[in-house]
Amino acid sequence: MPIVVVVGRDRPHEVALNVWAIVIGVLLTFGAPRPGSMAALVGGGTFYVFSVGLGLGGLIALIGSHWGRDVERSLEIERAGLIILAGALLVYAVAVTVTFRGQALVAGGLVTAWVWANIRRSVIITRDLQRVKRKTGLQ
Amino acid sequence: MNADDWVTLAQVVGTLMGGGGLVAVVRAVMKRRPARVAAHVQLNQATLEWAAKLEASADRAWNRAEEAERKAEEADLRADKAEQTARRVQVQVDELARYLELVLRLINDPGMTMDRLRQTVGDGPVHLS
Repeated sequence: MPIVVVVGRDRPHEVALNVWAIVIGVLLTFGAPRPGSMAALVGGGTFYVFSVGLGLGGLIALIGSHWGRDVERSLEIERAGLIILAGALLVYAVAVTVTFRGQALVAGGLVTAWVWANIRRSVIITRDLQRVKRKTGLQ
Repeated sequence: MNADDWVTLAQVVGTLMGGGGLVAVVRAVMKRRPARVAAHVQLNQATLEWAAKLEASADRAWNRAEEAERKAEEADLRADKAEQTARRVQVQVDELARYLELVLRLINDPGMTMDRLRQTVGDGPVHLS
């Protein structure tokens, strides 16, 4: 019997990680203990840019992935949020790796994978948006 | 490059990504979209609805095929029963024909009497007895 499956736009891994980014971003911005690597290598102002970027990126990406019927706008917002989040996470990934080296295998590896996934998803969105623009004849 | 250099590089790249992302958000929210894009979104929705209808149609076709197969099997069973009945009737017809041939032969026998005829033919073929 034929089964038609339409791939939805909700991806549980992405949603869960975006929610976690919001939570961590808010906690770190409003006083949670800083990660050791960040405390050692990143100054106060930069750290807040990092924590705000974490929370804001996650929030924007989450909103974009649930924007509504305007598919094009929602994809663009989601992509922007993922890029912001990837930028913030990149700082942490590098900081934890250079500080703890081999001991940062798990934490650094996970965050690096997260950065890669965000960038990869952004590339996929860009490709989809280009296909939409070609189809509608818009630039 | 030492650790500080790597962290500085990551901060620069991260800042650029963050800044670029913020600009992209503002542009995405502020951009006016012409009616053709709205039509394209409606086309996506229509495509989803079409896919749902296609699936429902395929389900109905599948059910009809199964129903037709079931009816074909029932028709085969009825055909088998009819053939068995026809064979049974054929056997009885053949037996009746042989009995009538015997009766005709006995009637035409010059030495036959009524008593001997009654005893020989009995009450008819077995299935009519």
